[in-house]
Amino acid sequence: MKTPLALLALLLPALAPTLGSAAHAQQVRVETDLDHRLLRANEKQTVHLRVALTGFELASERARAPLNVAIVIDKSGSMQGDKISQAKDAARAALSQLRADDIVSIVAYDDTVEVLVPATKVSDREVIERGINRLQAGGMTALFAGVVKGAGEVRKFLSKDRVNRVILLSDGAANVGPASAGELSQLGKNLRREGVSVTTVGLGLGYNEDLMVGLAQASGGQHVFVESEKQLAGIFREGFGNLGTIVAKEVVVRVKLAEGFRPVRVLARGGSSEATDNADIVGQTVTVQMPALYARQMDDIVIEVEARALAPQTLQVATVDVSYHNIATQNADKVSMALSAEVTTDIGRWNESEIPAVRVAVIERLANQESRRAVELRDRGQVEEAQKVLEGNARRLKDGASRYGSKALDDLSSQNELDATNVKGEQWNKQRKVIQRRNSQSPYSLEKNNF
Amino acid sequence: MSARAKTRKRRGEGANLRLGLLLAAMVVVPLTALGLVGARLVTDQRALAQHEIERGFLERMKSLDQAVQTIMRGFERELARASAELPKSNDPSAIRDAMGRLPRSSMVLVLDETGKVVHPPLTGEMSQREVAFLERTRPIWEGGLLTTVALKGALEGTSIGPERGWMSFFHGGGQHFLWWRTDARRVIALEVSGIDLMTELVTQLPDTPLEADASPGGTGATGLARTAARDDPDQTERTVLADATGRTVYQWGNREVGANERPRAVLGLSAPLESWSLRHYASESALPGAIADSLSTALFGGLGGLALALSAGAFLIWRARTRESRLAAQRVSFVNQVSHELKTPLTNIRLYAELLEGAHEAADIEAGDPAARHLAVIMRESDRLSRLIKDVLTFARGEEQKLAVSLRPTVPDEVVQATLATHAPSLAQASIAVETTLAAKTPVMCDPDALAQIVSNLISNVEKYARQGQWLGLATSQHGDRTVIRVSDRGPGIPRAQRDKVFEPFWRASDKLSDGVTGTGIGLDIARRLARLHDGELRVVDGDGPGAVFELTITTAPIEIAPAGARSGDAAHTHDKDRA
Repeated sequence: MKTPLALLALLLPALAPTLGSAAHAQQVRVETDLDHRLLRANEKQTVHLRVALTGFELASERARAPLNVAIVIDKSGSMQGDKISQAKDAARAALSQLRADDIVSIVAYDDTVEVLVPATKVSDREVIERGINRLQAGGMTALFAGVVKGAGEVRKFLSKDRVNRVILLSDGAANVGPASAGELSQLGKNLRREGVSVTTVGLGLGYNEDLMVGLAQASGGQHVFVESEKQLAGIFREGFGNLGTIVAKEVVVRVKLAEGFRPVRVLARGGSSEATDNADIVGQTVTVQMPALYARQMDDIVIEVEARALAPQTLQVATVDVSYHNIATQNADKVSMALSAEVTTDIGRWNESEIPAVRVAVIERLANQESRRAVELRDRGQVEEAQKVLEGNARRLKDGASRYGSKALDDLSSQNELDATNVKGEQWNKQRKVIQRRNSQSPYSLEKNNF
Repeated sequence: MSARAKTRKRRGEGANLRLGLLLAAMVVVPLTALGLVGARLVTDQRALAQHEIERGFLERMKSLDQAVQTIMRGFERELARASAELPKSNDPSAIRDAMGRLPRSSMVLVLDETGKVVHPPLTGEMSQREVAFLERTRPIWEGGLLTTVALKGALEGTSIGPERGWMSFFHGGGQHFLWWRTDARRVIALEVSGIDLMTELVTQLPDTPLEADASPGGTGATGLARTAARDDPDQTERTVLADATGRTVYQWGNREVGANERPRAVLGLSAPLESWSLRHYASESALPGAIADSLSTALFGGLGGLALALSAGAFLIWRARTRESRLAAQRVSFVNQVSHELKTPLTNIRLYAELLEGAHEAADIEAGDPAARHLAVIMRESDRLSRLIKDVLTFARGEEQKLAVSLRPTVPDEVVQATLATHAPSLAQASIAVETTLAAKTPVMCDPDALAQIVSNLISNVEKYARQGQWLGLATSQHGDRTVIRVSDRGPGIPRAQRDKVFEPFWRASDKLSDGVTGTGIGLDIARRLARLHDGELRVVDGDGPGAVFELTITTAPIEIAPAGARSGDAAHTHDKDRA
């Protein structure tokens, strides 16, 4: 490790880039970088450490992990009419994406919960179809109980080797039983610990996005916003298709910083990382739990680190351990690497050592934070201030986009402009849902409508 | 139709009506009585069933409470295992590692025997979660309940005993629970959040059962069946689990609970959820439905059967009665016709006998011609026969409710004397002495033919049944508008108990009495009927001796003032007619 390398990645043999592509294809790719390859000498500085994970490609559709899914459908009064019939179609569309050995259950709730289809193999289509036909809307919204019962059905066939999911479809708030975003996030956390994630699908403009986003994020699932019930079946088809592309789950990234570095915070998306319980900083160690990884999709974490004044040298910054359950091989994989950096007094070299991908990630996270702040301001009625924050966001993103040539930041900038426009007026309700969803997950996941 | 005829007709209808009413009562009364008793029984049974069911509900609630207790014990076991995993040292990272391996996200609090918090490390590095945890549990470890538990051991001078238990606290609008146990010189407390608990409870408690699947294929039909089941409130129940704040945590059952609906059963849960409650809703009528309904079905079925049986019985009685009376009427009408047919030849016999008598009277009477004697017998016997026929016709008319009297001014004594005269030969033949005391000489409004028939019947009876007394007393008297005629004998008399029965048709006092006596058995019946048509009465009264005394009383309207000639002429005419 004495080699004066700006970045030294110690990869385990299995991850060595020189190895055969087949072996490579069956492992999650892990990259660790600082925002600059070099550190400035003799000054205290804030640096960002990024760990990027990329899902490998599945060898074939058949190689995917079997699914174990509970579809939980809100059948309260507000779902009456077109919505419930579209929900039925969505459930059928979901079925069309499942294999015979997948397991599905259908749970419906209003004031109370009915298990329409207990966990059953997809091959038993008649039972499932009968269950779907039973759906009829009317009543209140016992969302908490619905999710818990759905999770109960998933639990019956809970297996590390399956993708265990609750898919919640709701168009409203919860009003029977625990009903706050905090309580549902707590539920999400508990389910995540058991290995069950909840994907929440918000239908129309009447649902509580904070609650739905909070539940999804805390459980390691996704949130999907569907404005019109007509899109529902299509989105279910897409989402269920994507569930099959999950290649890794129970992903835990542990970053242990070396002497001289102190972790300040994790730049998390969505709600604060503490609220979702996904990140923990104790002493020099940062532990972050990540949602499942999808094939060929990248997700990353960004940690803000404070480095104390250092003499010029090459030193180890951190060791990174990534553990996850490999869906393709059904193995518990572990990837460990060390990150080293050279401390230099040459500012010119330091400037040149910038790593754009990390900068882009940092800008994205900071914009995410600002966006969240804008929503809070808007929620308190400070519309003007919120608009200013969003406009500032859009500007900074634009700058970043042009500086690093990032299309992602450019897109995000346009979106923030739209946010700033819609912060006033009737479009806000819808825009807020769009923002909250966007802030809760990675751009890849957003784009793919991951479930 | 005359007023009298109407009355008679009404009397006939009245008899039928009475029978009908009686039969109806026979059906209705027992049914009503049984119905009332049965209804009472059903009500009682229903109340009893209601009570039973409510107790059943409570039992069910209790078993649910047991289920909740089981869940809590599951938590306890899990937490006990977790606490056992904790290292003996208070090294924070070792404790964190141990906790991280647990399935449930638990926070742990460790106090030493002085009540000081040793984990999370108050003065060391802590995660934000740990800081938040310490913050929300501060009231418990800073001189709170947990401090007390820790200090207790220290105060007693021994290591803290093997104690364990639950405590709960409120934070951020939610209830949290801590399970604690003592461990050598430490107190270990693990947190269970309200949501953890609720998640477990909702998982374990039942969900709303699906209604029976009507048609597996059709969406519409299933939907309808479902709606119907939901709309029938008798079919539904709802159980609600509420937390310490009264908020519904979870509920199941497809009953839609109304805003003001009162639960049928409420049960507070056992510790540590003592402030939680279970409420059960069900409709009142639905509860004992099965029991009471089957009972009332059985009852009303039974009553229906009984009603049917009773009605059938009543109908049979009614039919038997009407057939009997129809038969009797046929018989009477037959006898009536026969009697009418007998009347004509008898009249001719009598006529020619009288002609013969007239022819013989002048020439051969002194010669003691046996032919004249024979002729007298013919005359006497045809008289008797005509009286008999008259009785039969009168009786038949009475049976047909056609008996009537035609009132005209009559001197009772004249009628009595004339009647006595017609009986004189037979009385003489039977050696019966006649003693008369006649004091009814004032004319009254009555039917002389009827009066004669009555008296004649009474005299005939004496001839038949009191022959051995050899005495007949005939007394008449008048008091205002009442005329009394007494016919006495010195025969065997009539026992008091039978004095009413002798007036019933076809009845004879005794076989011994009637041995060798002929008679139709209708005489006294006719006599009484005729008496009653005169607003009078005929009865047996006490006499001086052992013999029978028949007393006829008639009440007559005041006599209209009429020419004496007309009166006597009428009387004479009556006389003639009687004789004829």
